[in-house]
Amino acid sequence: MQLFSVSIREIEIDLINYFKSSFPEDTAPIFPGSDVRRRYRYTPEAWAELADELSTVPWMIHLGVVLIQDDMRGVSTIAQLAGLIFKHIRHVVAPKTRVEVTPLTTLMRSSHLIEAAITKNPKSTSRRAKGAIKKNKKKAGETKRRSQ
Amino acid sequence: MLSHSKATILAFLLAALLPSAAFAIKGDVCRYGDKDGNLKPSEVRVFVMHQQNEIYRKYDINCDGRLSRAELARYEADQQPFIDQANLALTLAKQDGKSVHVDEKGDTAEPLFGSIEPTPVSPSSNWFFYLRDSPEEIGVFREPKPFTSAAGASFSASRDGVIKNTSWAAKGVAGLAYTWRNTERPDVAGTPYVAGISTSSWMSFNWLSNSAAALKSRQSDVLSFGTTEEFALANILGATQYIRVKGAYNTDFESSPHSWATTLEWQPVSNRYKLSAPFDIGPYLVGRVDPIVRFIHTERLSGGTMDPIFSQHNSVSRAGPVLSLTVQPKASDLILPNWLQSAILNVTYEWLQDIDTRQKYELLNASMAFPIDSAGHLALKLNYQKGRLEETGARIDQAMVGLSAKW
Repeated sequence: MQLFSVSIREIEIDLINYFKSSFPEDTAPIFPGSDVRRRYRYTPEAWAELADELSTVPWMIHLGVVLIQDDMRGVSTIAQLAGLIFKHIRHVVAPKTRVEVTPLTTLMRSSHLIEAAITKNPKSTSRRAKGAIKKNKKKAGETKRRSQ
Repeated sequence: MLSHSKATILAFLLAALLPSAAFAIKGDVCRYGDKDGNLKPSEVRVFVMHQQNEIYRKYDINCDGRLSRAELARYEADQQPFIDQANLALTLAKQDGKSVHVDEKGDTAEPLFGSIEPTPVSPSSNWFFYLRDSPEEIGVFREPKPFTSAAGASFSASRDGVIKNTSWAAKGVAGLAYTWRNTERPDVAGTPYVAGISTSSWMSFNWLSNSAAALKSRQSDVLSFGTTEEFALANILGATQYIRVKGAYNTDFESSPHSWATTLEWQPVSNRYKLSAPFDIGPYLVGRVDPIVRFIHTERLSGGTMDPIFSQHNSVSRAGPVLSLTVQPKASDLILPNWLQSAILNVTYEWLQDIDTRQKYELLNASMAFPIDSAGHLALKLNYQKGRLEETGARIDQAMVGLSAKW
């Protein structure tokens, strides 16, 4: 069984990148303590809907976390959002024997590289690369995570 | 780590076994006082240190009024996530070519770190009663202002001895609301689900009575009963679909019926398609477009109102779109000074058509509020309305300029 690890800090970075791509004109930095709900003037309805939108972004699918709109009522900062997502990740306890744990970001990076290669030159994509994507997707589906 | 847990458990067990009359301060691991609750001289140091500092209340688990090396280590370990967050903030600022400035008060323009714990909210399903000075929106995710910070209904009586007039007045909205929010989590992202339902029954009153005959024309007598329902259906066509049903029966305190109206509304909310959700307008502003489709049926009751809307029929059914654009500054001290952040521009255009007569009811409403001093005392308010009012059908072409001042 392949295990992947993820930390709150990585989730915070992913969330900050999400808001940076949603509001690309905003040149000011976003910090873990930033109240993004207030900063971008989300209405209660739009903020609640963000739960469904976040659930469909690739890194959230890799984490296997599905947020619901009710979750969003008590959170407004990057740190709180990261805490909320982290709370819903399925945790496993490390066994006494040595088990190889891959950081989830490594998996994301490898799938992105392969997908980028296909986009660049779809015809030349080898059967091996396609197999690797399939394997990665399958792995992601079965992923068990453990907290760092 | 294990020894801390053991010590905590031991402290709690000891506290539980101590004479039951000893008293604890909220959030404090220690208990104070003899069996009558009187503070003992030996407890003074612990009591003061714990009263003065939250750190002691939480971490001085052996209740000696001092932070031992182990207790201090536990405190520092609990702060590590915040140090990590602040380090990340500095890295991110550096990546953007910015630095983190600390002002003379020791504050940063934007908090670098924060707790990951959510702020407390009301239960997912609850009943609540509200009494306010004016109607306010109740929705699945739109809760009314807390009771303590809202203006309530007003009731007053006054006597003017010179003109021999006794005046009674009552104005407000009273209602009972129920909100249910779904807490069942779908297994797969994107699965449609009912996000929540809210329902509210309300009574709105505006009554002013004068005993002097000369002031009878200035009396108000409006009593309305209404109901509002909202359904939020998530993940349908990439958006949450809000369906709202509103009904109002307008009468007076003598129970003479005037009119009734039903409104049906549909509003999609989607961050993906930027519908009723914020989007970027340059580095300083965010915009929002709220698209709504509205159907209104209004009916005049016998002897009721003579509003222009009923000039041809006693019942009028209208339908059409409503589009609203809101532009506001981004609310961050890193981007704009705090006093400028309260500026707001809103333009709403409503286009309704009578289903029977094909008569059009258009209304443009533009408003702007702009702060004009850095202390936030003065604000300029502009409002322009042109078209026909939704409620009465009366024509309006009105521009208003106002200056609001508060000290």
